[in-house]
Amino acid sequence: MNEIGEYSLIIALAISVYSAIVPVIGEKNGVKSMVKSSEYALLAIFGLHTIASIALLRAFMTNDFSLEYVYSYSSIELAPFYKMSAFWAGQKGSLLLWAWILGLFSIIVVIQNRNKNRKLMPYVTSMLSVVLVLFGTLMVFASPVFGKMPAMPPDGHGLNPMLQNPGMIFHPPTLYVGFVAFTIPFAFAMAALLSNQLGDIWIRTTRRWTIFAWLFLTFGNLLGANWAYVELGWGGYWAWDPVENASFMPWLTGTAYLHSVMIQEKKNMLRTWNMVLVALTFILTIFGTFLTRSGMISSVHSFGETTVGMYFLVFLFMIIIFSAYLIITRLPLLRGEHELDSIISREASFLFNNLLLIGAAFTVFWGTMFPMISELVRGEKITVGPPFFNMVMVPIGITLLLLTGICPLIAWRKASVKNFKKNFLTPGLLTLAGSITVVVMGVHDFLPWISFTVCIFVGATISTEIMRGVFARMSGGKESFGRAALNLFWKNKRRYGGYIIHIGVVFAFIGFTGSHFNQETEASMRPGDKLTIKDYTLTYYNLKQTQPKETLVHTEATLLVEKGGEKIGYIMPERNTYFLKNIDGSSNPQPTSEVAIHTTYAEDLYVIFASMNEDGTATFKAHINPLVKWIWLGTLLMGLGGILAMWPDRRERKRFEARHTAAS
Amino acid sequence: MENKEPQVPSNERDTANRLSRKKGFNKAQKKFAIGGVILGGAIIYLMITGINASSSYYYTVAEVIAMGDSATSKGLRLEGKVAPGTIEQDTANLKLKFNIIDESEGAIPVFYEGITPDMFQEEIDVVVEGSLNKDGLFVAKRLLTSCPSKYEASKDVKKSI
Repeated sequence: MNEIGEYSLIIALAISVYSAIVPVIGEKNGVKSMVKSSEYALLAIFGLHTIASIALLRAFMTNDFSLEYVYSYSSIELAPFYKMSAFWAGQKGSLLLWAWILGLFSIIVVIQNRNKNRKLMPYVTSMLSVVLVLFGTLMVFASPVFGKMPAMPPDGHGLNPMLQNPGMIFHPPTLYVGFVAFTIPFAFAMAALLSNQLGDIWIRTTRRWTIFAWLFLTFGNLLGANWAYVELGWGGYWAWDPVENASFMPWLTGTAYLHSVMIQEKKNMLRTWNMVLVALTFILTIFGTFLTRSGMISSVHSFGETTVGMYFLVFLFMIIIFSAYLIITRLPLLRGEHELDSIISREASFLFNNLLLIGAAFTVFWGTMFPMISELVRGEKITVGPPFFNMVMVPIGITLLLLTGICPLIAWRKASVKNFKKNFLTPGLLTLAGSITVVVMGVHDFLPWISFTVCIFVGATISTEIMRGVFARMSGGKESFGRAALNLFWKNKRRYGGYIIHIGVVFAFIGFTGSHFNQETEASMRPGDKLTIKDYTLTYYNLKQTQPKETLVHTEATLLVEKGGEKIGYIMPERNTYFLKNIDGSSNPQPTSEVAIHTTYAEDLYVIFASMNEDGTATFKAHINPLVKWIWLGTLLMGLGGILAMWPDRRERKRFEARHTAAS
Repeated sequence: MENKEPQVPSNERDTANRLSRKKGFNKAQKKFAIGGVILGGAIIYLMITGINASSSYYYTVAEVIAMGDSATSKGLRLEGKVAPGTIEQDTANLKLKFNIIDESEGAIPVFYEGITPDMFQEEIDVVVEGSLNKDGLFVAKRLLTSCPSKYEASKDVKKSI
């Protein structure tokens, strides 16, 4: 079965070389069958990748430790669920999963476009195949998925206990889906350039893919943050680590792209800019992968230096040169048909949004690469820490959020001052009242105050906007309030989906701002000792130790929690010591702490069982992290809004088709 | 706030517009450029102050020893291994001392106060951030252990393979 998997990958690579070259030749010479055969080739590649994936999965489920990859990430005792997830615990399986997802998306694209975009499709097929060639090469030559152990070991090394957590199971695939999905708009953009089909068809066709990619990238990042928070046990969710930054950069440019394509759709402006953004986003997904796989930048997530880094670097340069060449040679054709009419217009607010997002991406890039840059320029390796990122990104973030609030207040093209005043009045008053309330509630520092105020402002403008829409519907027909609200959202899915996402962003910002008020304290205690933090008192009660299986020692501490003198319950942080087996039969203890979190909308009480000491004491660390729950709540809202914005809309398609036929 | 889209076929508009376009920038574009320059300038200003405020210098153990007293003034980031047999831990008061070494001959004593990471043990790779005091003791504000990689088999496994 392993051999079948191995051969499948080799054949898939050969086929992807075929489907990268042949459709372009077919299109140039007008041979339709060549184009069609390449589309079937994509189908074959997906089938072969599926076979290889089943083979690897089978190896995991049957404890086939003759495979180096299975040996490294699994063991006999591992729960079946985690054996399945060990598939993508390491690099080789991740590559296979990545390629499989890309194959899946490719055939969806082929099916979606079987009767349309026939001028674009040969190039789309070719571009997708080029990326498949990269992954095929990696899986066959650089990092063979079905590589063997010299001898069959009796048991596997086991899965890193930190990966034995639901958050970690879904975080990597979610991120991969986001990364991979951005390949689709990129492939269409390049196809548009190659075939000189530079209208907005490629953008319309990939609109849903773009939102989909963005949504998964957002979820992937936030699931990672959530995993870090509940599993890593250092009290926070984001540390500006290079690996986090690597997936944050394409998110920033992807967000810019998501907004600027709307300007092209509505106003036919920014056509060059959109090409640049979609190429940049795709390049950053590859760059991010390169960064984390090459070992070039040291990170707390040491990924191990692997040979795949070089391949990514070469591919990266090829893509940069290729897309830059295409865009530059097509510049005259890409000129938009409209210019900016006024600085107080929705277009202008989108442009500033783009500017800030690109500024943010540049900041993250600069901060992440600073050790390398400084070494090149000054000969000294200098690193910048989280304070650098916070100092630059917080003002950028708040300004961006402010734009989110201003945007619905101003019209396309040119907003009249009268109109602006009328729109601004209600939310302005609400914001003033809210802002004063925030001060009264005890926020006296400037940054959190301005951040909360902007959050309230955005919330107020969006809800005013929604209410206006609802009342307009109610006065027009005989719709009840609920009916009107439902219709409003359902009949303008894109717009109101967008608003829901923005509300989610506001929630997330409320949560981020809460970190300004974080508190922490630590103590070594004996049973009966107390620890106080804010208005909480924790009394260390007892310790329970069990050994549920041979390779795991489980210790659970119980602490009584009182808030303001009133008992609210017990909190039970844990420590687990796992014994990962080495090939010679020895094992290393690997302790991990499982934090306990008592969460409310106001704040999280976050308790870490840091160590058990020889003198009989136990060390605990307690954090008060205000408003963290709002981040996860915001994530949910963003997902909901994204789904609404993506939902197929017949009315919209009709509008598009009407315009499309009128244009041609 | 309904936005009516113009219904002129886009190709015609396109050509007409391209023919009639004047060279140079209009007023709104100029204003946008000014706004953009201000925003860009603000971001760059923040970046420069941010770098000055939070940079720490990467050095190896040997380099810090070679610098002697001149190493004491700035923020440092040292990477190395925990020297075996040098860990002194006062768990009740959360104090920790150990020597950090690398491939060179030298060793630097490190002092850290706070919770030690789960993975901390002899011969593990660590990163310490902090500064060197006059007595040559490295006072670490942060102590990081490289997580056993998420994606690769840990080093001792590789060796044993």
